[in-house]
Amino acid sequence: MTHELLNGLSSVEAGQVLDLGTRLIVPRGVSLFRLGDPADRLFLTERGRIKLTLPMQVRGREEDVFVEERPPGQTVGWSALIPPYRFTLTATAALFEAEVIALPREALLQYFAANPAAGYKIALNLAVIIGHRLQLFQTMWLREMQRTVEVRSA
Amino acid sequence: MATYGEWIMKSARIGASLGGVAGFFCAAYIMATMDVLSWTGVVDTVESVVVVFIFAVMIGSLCTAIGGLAGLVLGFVTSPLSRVAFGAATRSESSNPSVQPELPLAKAAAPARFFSDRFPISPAVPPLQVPIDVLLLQIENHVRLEQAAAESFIAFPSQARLHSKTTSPFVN
Repeated sequence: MTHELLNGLSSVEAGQVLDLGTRLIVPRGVSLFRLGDPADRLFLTERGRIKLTLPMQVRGREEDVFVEERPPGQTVGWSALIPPYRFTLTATAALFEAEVIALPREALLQYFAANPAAGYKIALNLAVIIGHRLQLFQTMWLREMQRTVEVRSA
Repeated sequence: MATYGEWIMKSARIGASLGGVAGFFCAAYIMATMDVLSWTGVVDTVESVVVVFIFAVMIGSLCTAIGGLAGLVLGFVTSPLSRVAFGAATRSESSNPSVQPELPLAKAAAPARFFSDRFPISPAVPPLQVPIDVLLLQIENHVRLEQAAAESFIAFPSQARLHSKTTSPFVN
């Protein structure tokens, strides 16, 4: 399994990072974390899919609405490395049981301090992940804005 | 109001029942009228009846399965269509809730009846709505389509891709 967060790292470095983590099994329908929870761990998906949702009022009821899905190899919960260290989405194992590697922030930061070259590569990978998310949602936001403008000016 | 699941299961049950009954009797008729069976002696007749019955049960079971499957497919296809059609037929001209005038209550709007007011007025039928689980699936589908469109734009940025249309029912 190759993880996007560990791109460019040697196999030794990748192994060292993975050794910092703990494997977790997330049963189907169970939340890995919820919106607003303290974010002290980052997750690498190993198996299954993690569904990210946000609460929305639908017909007067609060419903978790789909935002995106993370397949194996991708990273979930990078809020653990970004202040204020609070999750901004809810993550749930979608259709099937999922397996993730939970990497504690403190352990990661200590590893980065001891291995700056590896830390630099991981930071760049994280920037790619966050940048892609930003571009994606910026585009989606603009498309929705365009439709709102069309409806309002119709 | 029946949910999609109830609608589809009801349709499948009806299909299975009709298929089973029709298949049973058709098979019985076809087998009974075939020349290979003999109806002369008592033993021959009993044997023929058993053969006809077994054949009819086999074909009836097959038709039950086929009818159930057909009913399932028809129910699956027709349930959203019927809701959409009914929703479109009952929807007000104005779709903007902010400018839509408030509808009067059914009781106040009901005209005076000539014969008697003793019989209760049947309550107004609420407008059909898509079940909430279906609505959530539609939202998820919409988000997935929008993400795919956004990914396409990010891979090859252009104005056309930025405003490309999707098949999402939310925007069509």
